[in-house]
Amino acid sequence: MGWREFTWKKEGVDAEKLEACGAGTGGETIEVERGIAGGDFANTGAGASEIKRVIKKLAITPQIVRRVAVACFEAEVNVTVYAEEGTISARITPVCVHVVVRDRGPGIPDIEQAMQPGWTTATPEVREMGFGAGLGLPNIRENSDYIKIRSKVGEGTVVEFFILFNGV
Amino acid sequence: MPLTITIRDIVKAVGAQVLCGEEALDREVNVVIASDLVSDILCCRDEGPFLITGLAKIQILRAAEVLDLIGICFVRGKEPEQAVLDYAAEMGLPVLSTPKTMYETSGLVYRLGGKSGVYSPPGRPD
Repeated sequence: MGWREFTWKKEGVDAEKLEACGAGTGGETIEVERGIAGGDFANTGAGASEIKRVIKKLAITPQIVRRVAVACFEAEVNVTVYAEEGTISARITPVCVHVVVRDRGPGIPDIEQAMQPGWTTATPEVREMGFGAGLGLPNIRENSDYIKIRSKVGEGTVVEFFILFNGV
Repeated sequence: MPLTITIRDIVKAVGAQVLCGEEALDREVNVVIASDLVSDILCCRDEGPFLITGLAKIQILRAAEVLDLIGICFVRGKEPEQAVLDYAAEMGLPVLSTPKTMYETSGLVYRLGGKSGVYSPPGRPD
């Protein structure tokens, strides 16, 4: 089995335009990158907090700041719960944020299934810590304008999402 | 006149102990959510909710940062480790603990006039 891919975009969103925003064309760009260690629950979410602090300083509505923070947090939690290690990197432009979360881990055999709310393979230990409700990937999608997931069993997963600051 | 409640009102109503953030007890509580699941908490679409939870772990504070929680009340007598409280104190976040259950705590806060936060879970992809 090779790399599998899943993409989804909100209705009316121009994916090409977003890719251009994410590439940082047309304005000042801020980049944030952090490592994520598998199983390190004490630090999961640190990347989301840092990204949130940066975008809070821009003139963005609190609703959008929350959407970015929630999506980043869920993506980090996924790496902590399932993978050995990973990184979260965000490119923040004046019009959008482009986040890439990569991990080295088991991969997702069926991404469509993992996108269904409530579907999870989390262990009871993980659930005891308040995670593993099967809402991670669905919550990232819910808060994004455009999302791309690539995964290969036995290798890892790349979750990439874009959130616009002021509509398309 | 709309009824406003503060964290201090909640402390009294549920007989809670204030573990940290004493200086911020007069914060107004706009909406309240109650859950032990982090992803469920992150489905709240309101700004700055007050959280009732039995999950007394560090990850709840990460969720608190993400959602700008204005305060937390741990139920069933749960108290987090000192490191968690130190982190909350640094954030200036009021943290309470009550021996009451989540059901009873929620009921008492509801009776005070606490409004429910909007729970908006993700749908299925189109």
